[in-house]
Amino acid sequence: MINFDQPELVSESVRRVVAAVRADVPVSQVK
Amino acid sequence: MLCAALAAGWVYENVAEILDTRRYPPPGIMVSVGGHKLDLFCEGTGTPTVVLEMGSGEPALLFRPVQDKIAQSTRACSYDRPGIGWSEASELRTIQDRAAELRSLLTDGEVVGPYVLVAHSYGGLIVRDLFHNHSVDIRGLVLVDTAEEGVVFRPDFLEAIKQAISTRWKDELSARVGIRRLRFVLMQGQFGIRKDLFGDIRGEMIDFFSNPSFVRAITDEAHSYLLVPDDMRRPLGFGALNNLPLIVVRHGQPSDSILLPLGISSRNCGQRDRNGWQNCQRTVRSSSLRGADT
Repeated sequence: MINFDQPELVSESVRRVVAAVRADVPVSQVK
Repeated sequence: MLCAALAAGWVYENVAEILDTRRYPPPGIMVSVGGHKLDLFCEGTGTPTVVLEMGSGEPALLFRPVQDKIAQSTRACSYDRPGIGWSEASELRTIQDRAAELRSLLTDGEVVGPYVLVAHSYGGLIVRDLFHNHSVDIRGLVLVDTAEEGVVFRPDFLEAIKQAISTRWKDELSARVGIRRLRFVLMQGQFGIRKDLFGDIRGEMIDFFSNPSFVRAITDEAHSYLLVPDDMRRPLGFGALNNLPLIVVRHGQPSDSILLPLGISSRNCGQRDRNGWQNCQRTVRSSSLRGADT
């Protein structure tokens, strides 16, 4: 249930949200 | 004889705490919030600032690999709630109290917004309350297997919490006389302090999980579920997230390995039914019109 052992999964999701915030677009538009 | 053993255990525990305080200093700064100090660790530069909110009883140090990765591209901050990790204990009661304290920490710790919040498990309810009830400039969320109202307020889950709380005094007593620490030191693998997961931070984890203030903190956090008003104990009872950019991260395989030292099995968290857990995470995702999941 915990993703400590999958840090890439969480950090990649954060990267997408941060990029969406910076570009002011929906997350779905960020690769 | 018993009194002598308890006294020796008390001395052992207190000496161990003093030694570990010297051995493992906090990596960040200690910020005074409401009469106690919370440990705050920030790294990286850029905007928005990413703030990590942990699950119940989880020291922020556990998420350090994630934070380090995030900090390569923007500012990333984490902290420990009261009684956990390096943070001092306090008398917080409700989830709303914890959201208000996070807001104070961001202000008093000079953590500059706008923010993207990353929450795990219990922390999800805190950041959702922060979004709804505090004027904090939150621009996006990442929710990692967060608590969902339809699951965590089920009668069987609440009953499990009540049972755990009712026996917590034994854990607190064993912590105060060093028995809990000794068990962690001697039987690390059995209590979830796995080398492959914790690596170089096993010493810190044993100190955190053994500490009497930690036992009290997780009891208080568990009790906070019982204090949530009835009208919030339903799917999306903590409110919708409107158009907030959101990604929901769901686990692949259920695991008890880390929750066991906390005394609550993931089977009590509605995860025995894997499909049920996946469905409730979809409910979390639906809280935002701009939600996505992994």
